[in-house]
Amino acid sequence: MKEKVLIRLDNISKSFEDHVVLDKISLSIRKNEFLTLLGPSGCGKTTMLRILGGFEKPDDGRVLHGGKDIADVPPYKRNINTVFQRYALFPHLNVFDNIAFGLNIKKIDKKEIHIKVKKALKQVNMEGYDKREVSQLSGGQQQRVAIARAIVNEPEILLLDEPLSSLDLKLRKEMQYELKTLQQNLGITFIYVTHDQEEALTMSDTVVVMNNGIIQQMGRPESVYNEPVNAFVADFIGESNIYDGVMKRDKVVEVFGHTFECVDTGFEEDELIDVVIRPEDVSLSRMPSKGAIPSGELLVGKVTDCIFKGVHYETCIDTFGHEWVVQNTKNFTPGEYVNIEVDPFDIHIMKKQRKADSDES
Amino acid sequence: MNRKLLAYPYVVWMIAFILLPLFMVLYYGFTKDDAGHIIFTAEYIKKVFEPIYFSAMVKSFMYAGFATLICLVLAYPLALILASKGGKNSSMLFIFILPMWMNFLLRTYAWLTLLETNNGLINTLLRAMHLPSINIIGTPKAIILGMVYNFLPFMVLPIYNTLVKIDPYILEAAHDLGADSFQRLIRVVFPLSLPGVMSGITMVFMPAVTSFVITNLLGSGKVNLIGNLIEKQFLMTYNWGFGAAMSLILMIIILIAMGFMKKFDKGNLEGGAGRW
Repeated sequence: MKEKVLIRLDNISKSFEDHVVLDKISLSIRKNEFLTLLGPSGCGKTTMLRILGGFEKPDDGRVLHGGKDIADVPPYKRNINTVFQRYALFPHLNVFDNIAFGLNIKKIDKKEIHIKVKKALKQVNMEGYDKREVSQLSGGQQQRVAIARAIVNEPEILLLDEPLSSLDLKLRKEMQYELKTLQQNLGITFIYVTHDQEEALTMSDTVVVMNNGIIQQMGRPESVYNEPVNAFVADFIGESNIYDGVMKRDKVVEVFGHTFECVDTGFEEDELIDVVIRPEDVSLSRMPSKGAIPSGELLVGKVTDCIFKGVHYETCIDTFGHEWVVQNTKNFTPGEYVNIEVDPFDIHIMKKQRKADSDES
Repeated sequence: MNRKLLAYPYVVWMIAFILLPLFMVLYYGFTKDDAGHIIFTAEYIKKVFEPIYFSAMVKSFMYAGFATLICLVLAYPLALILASKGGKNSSMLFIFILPMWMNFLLRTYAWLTLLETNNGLINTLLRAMHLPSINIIGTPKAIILGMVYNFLPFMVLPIYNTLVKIDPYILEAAHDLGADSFQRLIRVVFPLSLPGVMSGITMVFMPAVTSFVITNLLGSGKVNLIGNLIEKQFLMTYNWGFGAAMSLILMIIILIAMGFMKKFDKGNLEGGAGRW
């Protein structure tokens, strides 16, 4: 994965009217990378994609490609193609002519166009559909045509703007797998925008988590999931229990009066921090008898709800005013008292963010 | 309540003001009064195809076709400009629609006062600036001018309507795939606006081909189009049979032409051309 940098965003800022959409973003995208911009709606991810595509100009900053600033280069002069969210196929052209559009503009030999279009159709598993009208295709098929229309031009970078968001769940999963395979076969850099964290984790080499026009965290899917740098990332990528805590000393944290062991060091004494615990990292055990008085080292909570989710049960627990969400394979009855245990490695301590961000989470 | 009841007034309207008159035209076109007896005749229909009358028909189509072409050439760039403002500049569209609020006759009379050879406003101004005056009243030029002026909004509006409906992402996709603005216009925007163009052509060509007021006023009665001939049969020579026959033939030719256009339009009804 240590390929050379293909395109670099340098201190990009963009505002619409008075609303800051991108705030001094810097980001390097490497060759052959599958990079995902992930964040809630309005976080600036689509604007970033549109700046890369040339549909928006940044107010400030540079888009460096091959050592040159391409921020002012119009889309039709960039070797970058886009798969749009609502496909944006040309309704007056059939499947073949849609895919051939870019090649026709380049005035490529008809025979070669024919070969390339057939190949692109094969790559998206749409062989034999070339004479169909676009309006006769299902959403998934239209999306495949949109992908074929982009990759047939052999771009250096393919931009995908939430391309699977209007497909149903099963088809979406299939397409995720296909897109990943396609990217590996083509050796093209994919920049993918989504608000679906699962999609991002499934397909990407690199996940860029954004919020409020700022990159919150960037890294491999595993590291973003396992080591979120702040409460926003922890909450957005997967479910999390997030509590206010106080760092008593190294490796000891206090959360609502209960002391937990953890593995984090380097905080100030009594520093206020966020404690993040993944639902699957909590172990629960039944209290020996129902009426037993909560005692000892273990945190005790009352089960308020237990829902069967297929692979696991999702249990909601109330610990004297604080709610926990726990995922495991045990079935509890609401009203039961349980002991709550968390391994020190699974307690993530995070510095408090700026006020604006913590409001979000 | 039976919703069909609500349709009855329209059915009555259609019968009284559309179907009945149509049958009357048919009746007059194919019958004549022979000494108190009404008899069937094809005499009037045949007469329409006599060179003197048929050439008027051909001339009408040529005038209307030419006026439609000029309207299209003027209206398309205008509609593009209006649509590209993204509806923000609706005041500009308003200015182009404004004349439609005035009576058609008044507008045409206004041109008469503007263009008059001796005391017309334009010629007075030209003379004041020591420029040669223009004398187009009573010539085909004035008739074409009148047609273009009166029918231009009917070309602009349908084209504008199809242009604003084009998905902006489709336009971005064309840029994305390497088409510059001109290539995009030719390959994407124009094909997608064809329903509007067809609708505009229909809405300009039809009133132009049957027009007689413009020819009477701006042509000073020197140019006789089919509309003028029909008018004369009904209002001056009282040969209703022949007038009806000319109307029928004209109607049939227009219907054939429209059917042809609809086929050409690939069944795309968005601009409303199909309804005509």
